[in-house]
Amino acid sequence: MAEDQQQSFIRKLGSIFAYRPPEHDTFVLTEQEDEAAPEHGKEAGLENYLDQEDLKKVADEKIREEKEREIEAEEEIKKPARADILKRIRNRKQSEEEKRKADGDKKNKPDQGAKEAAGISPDINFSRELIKKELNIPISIDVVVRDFKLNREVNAFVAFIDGMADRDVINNFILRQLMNRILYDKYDGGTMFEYVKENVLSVNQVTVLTDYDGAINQILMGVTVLFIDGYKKCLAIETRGFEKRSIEKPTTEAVIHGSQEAFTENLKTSMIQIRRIIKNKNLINEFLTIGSADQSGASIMYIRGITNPSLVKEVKRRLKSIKTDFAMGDGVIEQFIEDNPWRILPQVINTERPDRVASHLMQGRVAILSESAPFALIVPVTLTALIHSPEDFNLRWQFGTFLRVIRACAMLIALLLPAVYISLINYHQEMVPTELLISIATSREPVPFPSIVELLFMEAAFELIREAGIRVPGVIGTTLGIIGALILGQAAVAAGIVSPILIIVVAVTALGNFAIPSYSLAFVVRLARFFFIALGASLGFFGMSVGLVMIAAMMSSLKSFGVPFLAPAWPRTKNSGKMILRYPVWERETRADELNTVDKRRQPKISRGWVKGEPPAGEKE
Amino acid sequence: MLKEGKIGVFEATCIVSIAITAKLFFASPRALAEVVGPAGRLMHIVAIPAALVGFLFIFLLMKRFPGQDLVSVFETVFGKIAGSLSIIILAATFLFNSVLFTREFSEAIKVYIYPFTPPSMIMIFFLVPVLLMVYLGFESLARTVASFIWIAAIALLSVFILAGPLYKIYNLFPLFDGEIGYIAITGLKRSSVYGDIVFLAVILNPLQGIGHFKKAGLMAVLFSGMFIFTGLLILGLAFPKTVASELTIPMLSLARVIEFGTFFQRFESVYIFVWSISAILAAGVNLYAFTSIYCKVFRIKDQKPLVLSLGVILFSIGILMPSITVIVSLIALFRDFSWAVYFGIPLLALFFAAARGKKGVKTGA
Repeated sequence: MAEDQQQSFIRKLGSIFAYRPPEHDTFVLTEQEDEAAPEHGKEAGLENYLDQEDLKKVADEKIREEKEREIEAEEEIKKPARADILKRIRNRKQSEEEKRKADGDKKNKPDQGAKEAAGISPDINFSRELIKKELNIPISIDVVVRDFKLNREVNAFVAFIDGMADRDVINNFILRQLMNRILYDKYDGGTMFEYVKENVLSVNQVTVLTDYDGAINQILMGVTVLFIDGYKKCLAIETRGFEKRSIEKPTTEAVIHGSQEAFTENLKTSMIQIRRIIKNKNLINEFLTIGSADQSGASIMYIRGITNPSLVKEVKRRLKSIKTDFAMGDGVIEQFIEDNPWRILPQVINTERPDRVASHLMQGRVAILSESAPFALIVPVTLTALIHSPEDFNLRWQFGTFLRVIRACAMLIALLLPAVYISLINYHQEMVPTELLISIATSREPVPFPSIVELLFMEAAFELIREAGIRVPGVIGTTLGIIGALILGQAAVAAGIVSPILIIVVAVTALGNFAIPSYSLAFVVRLARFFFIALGASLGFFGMSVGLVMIAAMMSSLKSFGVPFLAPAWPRTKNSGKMILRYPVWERETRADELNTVDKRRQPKISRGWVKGEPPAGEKE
Repeated sequence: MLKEGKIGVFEATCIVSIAITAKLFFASPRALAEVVGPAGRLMHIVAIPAALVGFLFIFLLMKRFPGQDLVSVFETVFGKIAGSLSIIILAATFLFNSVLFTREFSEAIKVYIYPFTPPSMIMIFFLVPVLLMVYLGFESLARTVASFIWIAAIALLSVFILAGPLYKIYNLFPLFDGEIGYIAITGLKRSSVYGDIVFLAVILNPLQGIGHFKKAGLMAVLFSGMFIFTGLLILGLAFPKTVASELTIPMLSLARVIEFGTFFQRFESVYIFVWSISAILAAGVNLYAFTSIYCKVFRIKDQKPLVLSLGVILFSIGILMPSITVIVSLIALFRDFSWAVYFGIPLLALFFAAARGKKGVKTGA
């Protein structure tokens, strides 16, 4: 019996060690051939950035437009009796669903929750009933369907969600216009739909929709949709006007020298913030929805002609493949698209700074913005990108390099200092100079616990203070952090629970942790510190060496969207020296080699043209 | 086919250099001091060219079979069964080298730092990162080694420089402690220290071609030869023969006696990082070499399921050795005769290939 148990344990252990994540083809970021690289000023073909689905969409769009033109040519549309249209659509949906199930072909299965596009009926009563049913009116009190007549003749209605749409725009620029007879004076009996679109509505953005699913999605996003009797299409009128937070200063990535604005929860505002920085016609902003229940919007931004098309396609492939009911915010999306969820290291950059996003976009990375999250995701990520701060580039290169060195030291301190302390105290006392050793021994004399216990106690206390400081509202939170640490430390020393030197160790470690510019990386360091403390307490410096090799091996094997995490250090590239050294701006001639961008050059070899020229005549030394 | 990725010349040089140079950090210099006294460095003047000649034979063999790694070459030259057997002998040598590193390190660290810790515990801790590196694959191993090579080089150089005040020129005399002929023969035998160079032939495909192979091999032998020569010279300068032959780990002892004022002394603990990391990496490289050959011979596509079993085998063989005395004598035996496996078998393959007129097919011309 015991032998069986032992065997089963060994088998389990073996299976854990032989565990491999689910098999999937690894994405490789292919190098772009030089011939494909456009020269400055020339445009790279957009079709390179589109996947099969996008290309199909473009083709469908063209067909739809042609059909629309044909419909417009018809002067009058016959109105057949459609008492049972709803029934027929439902029957058709059901029969097709059954057919798919019978086929058992997984590939042909519709995405979870994805609705089949149903063409809009010219019968306005049918459309009204369908919209009401889909949007759960009258149970949902915030959804409004408003009926009226155009030119006192044609039936029409608008549908919108109260609070999501701007009331002023609806009242003054949609309803008032639509019901104003004077505006129909020049109506010559042609297509009312086109007349309304071109002559009546005074709203900047109006889109034609031909299916109910699209219309409902737009309504849910705050757009007002106008249905007109007799037409197989409707108008989506831009009225989004919900309450939102204004642009504020960054809270987790503050800088002294540089931009002082952060993203907000509003996707549109975030997109505009980036556009305002990169005034480039090739900045592409693609929109897609994620999640079947909430249809969250996400925006993919990249620069055509710089970013590697394979990278863009891979990002889109991963985002489109997400099958979930609710994917709110950048954190959830990040977890869905990262290469290796089992690794502790971050595989996506989260940032709240538009200038940082812009800088990465210009490097050839892809940004993903999501609704309801004041953060952007940037892929692919490297360790270099995580330890660099936007401030490095705003400062002169000497200062930037100094800051990077400080930051690298801070990271090492945050990771290793407590483990070094515990190793020294437990195993390598000979290394500590005698006077210092006596001082440490004297301060530790009243402490009844082993040094590992007091260290873990202080680390735990500090983590508590930090977590509580975040949850406590406003200024009290910050005060609690500072005062709490001081009082707790002082009291712990006075009570003889910890030694004073340990307070210094924990405080310096915390400072080091705060100096790491990436929140995700700082979190990794926080957790890895405990791992190193355990190793240091078990086997001193040898134990720490074991941990260092393990961490290095993990980092070496990690890839983010086909780019090695340790690039440009390993594998070595032309930019390897730029990991710690911040080169002068005029020396930053090429883009990051590991990103395999289409256009590799940022600036010519001589970017400061004036060094080759001469000062104006008479003003020369 | 085992997925091994791609590496550059620098990474390949680092892999072999760390496997060779790590030997300097343990008991080998002591054994050398016993055999040839302060003439250890002179012995390496013979060992380095001997290793280069050995590498030349391997290079000629690999050049004869373009695009094929050593496993495939042996199978072509000797036939499937004999070829597999001969390459498994080489693989076993790598495995044994890995075992020696593991146990030698455990004993050494027990002697100097953890006298009350059982060697089995040190071995288990030692094997965890070794197995992890093998599990994560060759590309990751190469990059990990390359990440630490600078730290190891700087640490070693700092020991050389900081020990400056301890150097005594007269420690180097008698210049030839024993006969020159004896030193030369020992040097030839000790060329096995550089035998890890064969590993490059095993990983020829990730190395991307014979040109890189040649460059990496030459650089690795010269770079590590230079370090070992300097290390032995420094040890010779710092310790007389009688003292050096009594020290278990002369390099750690050298770091221990460095002293600058009352604050900067007994800093050998800092160098524990370098010794430990070098030993872990060297054991990892040797174990991966074994794994790679094993997978290629038996057409295993993934090394991951083998890792746990390998760990158990490595630990079991390591723990079988009863004491440090046995380990030291085994190492001496290994250093004296492993050249026959590292360089002898490829040389035999070259002769066979030449005699039978076997050649590979040039591809991509």
